[in-house]
Amino acid sequence: MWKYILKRIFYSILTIFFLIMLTFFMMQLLPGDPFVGDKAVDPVVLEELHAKYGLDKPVPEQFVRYVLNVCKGDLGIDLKTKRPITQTIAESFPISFELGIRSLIFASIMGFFLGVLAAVKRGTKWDTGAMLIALIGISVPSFIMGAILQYFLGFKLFQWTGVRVFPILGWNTEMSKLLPAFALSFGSMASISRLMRTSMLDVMSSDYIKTAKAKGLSRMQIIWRHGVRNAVLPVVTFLGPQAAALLTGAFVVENIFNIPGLGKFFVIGVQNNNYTMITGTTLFYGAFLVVANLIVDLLYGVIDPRVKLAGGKE
Amino acid sequence: MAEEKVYTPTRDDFTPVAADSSTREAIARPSISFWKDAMTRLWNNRTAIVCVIILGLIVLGALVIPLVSPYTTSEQHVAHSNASFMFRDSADGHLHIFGTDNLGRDMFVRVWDGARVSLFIAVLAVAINLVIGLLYGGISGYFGGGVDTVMMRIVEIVNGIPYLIIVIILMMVLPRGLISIVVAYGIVGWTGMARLVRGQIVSLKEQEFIVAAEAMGARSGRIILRHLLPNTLSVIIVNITLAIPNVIFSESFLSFVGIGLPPPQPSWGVLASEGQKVFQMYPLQLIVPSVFICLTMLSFNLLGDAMRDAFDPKLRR
Repeated sequence: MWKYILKRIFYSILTIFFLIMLTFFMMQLLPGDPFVGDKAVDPVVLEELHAKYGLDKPVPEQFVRYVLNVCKGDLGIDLKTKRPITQTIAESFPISFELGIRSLIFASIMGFFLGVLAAVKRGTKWDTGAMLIALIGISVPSFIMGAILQYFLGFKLFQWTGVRVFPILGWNTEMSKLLPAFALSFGSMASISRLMRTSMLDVMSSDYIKTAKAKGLSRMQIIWRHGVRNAVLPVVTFLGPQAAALLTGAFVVENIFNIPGLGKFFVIGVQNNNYTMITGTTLFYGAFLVVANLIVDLLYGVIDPRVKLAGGKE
Repeated sequence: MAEEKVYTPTRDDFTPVAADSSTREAIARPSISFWKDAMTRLWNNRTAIVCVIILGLIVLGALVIPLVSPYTTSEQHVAHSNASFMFRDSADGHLHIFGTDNLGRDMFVRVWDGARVSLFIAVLAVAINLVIGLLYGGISGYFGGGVDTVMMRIVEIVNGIPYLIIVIILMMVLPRGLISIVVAYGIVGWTGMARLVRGQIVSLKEQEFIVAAEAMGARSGRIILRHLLPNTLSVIIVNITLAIPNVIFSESFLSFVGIGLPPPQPSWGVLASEGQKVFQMYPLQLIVPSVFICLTMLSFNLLGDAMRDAFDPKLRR
């Protein structure tokens, strides 16, 4: 088990290092000076900045410097606002995180129930209905979903009833958080429900379910105690990659709903060619996802005793 | 009670068929190859047929409509900008089936031209993924051992970062344009295909028919081309079908983020992101590209699912 954990941690560090390398070479390839934005910069300040980030040194030394800076938590300075990137992240990431967590919880619960329902009532109209919802979820990108919700529930509902139920934009009241979280979660919910259904069907045709039936357990007991418990395991590993999907989805959803999260700043950075902002947030995102994946993987080892056994044999 | 005569056959009524080994060995039913069987099942799947027809119509429309339309994609009709559905101008007789956008450009021709661009990007990017994935996965799976370990670790590391972030970084460096999107996606998107191909090859190469081919003196090239690849083909086709909607989504995503195609070239993503800006006033401009994006993605997803079922030997009856 420990060997497995150490191996996973090692690969996580390697992944982050690869990402640092990628962003560094991107900065090298870009034309111009990373500290010169639209406006002219005072040459003294520029010199100081160059010295601080070691841009007057040869490339390999610059790389070492860059890695060390990143390790210290210094992701550079925003070209437009001249504030440290870390400060922007500290202010806006909690909002993105809240949006992501809300979506993930919603997607997991809804996906779980849809999947179990479809598997248990296989071949009936419940199955068809649940899988139809899942297919729509997979085929409708989050930005279209967001716009549809905004239009009908935010805009048209207000026009028809005169009561502002869901605000169109913003992130302040509880109601304003519902639409973006739902728009973001729809795709993940669909994937989770499909996965849950396959996993559940797989489990329900296994021998121990037959044994449980032979023992005379009730249908509910079989489904919940023996079926769902085993079927949910592969779905847990899927949550790590789903966090990545939610994160990139949040770029767009935050923009549509005008939520001041990190995704919005990232997209604005991309549109303004704000390179340090892009590299800084990219590194942060990458590290966050790698850690999230690591936690999910380790969690899987904890909740599924079979993984531990496989690790022990090695 | 009437006596009913029931005929009881005796031994003499039967004559034994001559034991001819050639007729006994013959297969009574016509043999159905794997592909024939899969195709029959796909053909009997109504959903799959509908999807093929929808996709066929979209491809056909994308190829033909921009050529025959009286308008071009960048032609502006300032007199009737933001026109509504099936708008006909009484002054000059212009008909705009899907209306016009805020610059007065005809949405009908733009959405079909956008289809051409979006589908072109999708097909090309998936083709690049396929080539890289086949080579990478094939080499990794066929040679195994240390090569395999190192190659798969690299895939794992690349996979640790969401592909869209890498694509965005690449798009920053590359000049904006169609080829850049294809290249950026092509560089990143192959990991899934490589993993899939490797997994297939690893499980196949241990099987008896490969050992038999080796025993009969087939070279590696022949084994890979004649025996390994044809057997992985069904899985690859399913994967391609499911990868295309993914690229269409990525392209729309990039346009939405603002690093997609430069104007005036429309694509579905560009149209959707332009429509999103004015959707409260003119919802049609968002609805039209959205319907096309969703319909295409839905058709490809359904077709992919149907193909997976058709190719699955477990479901073979």
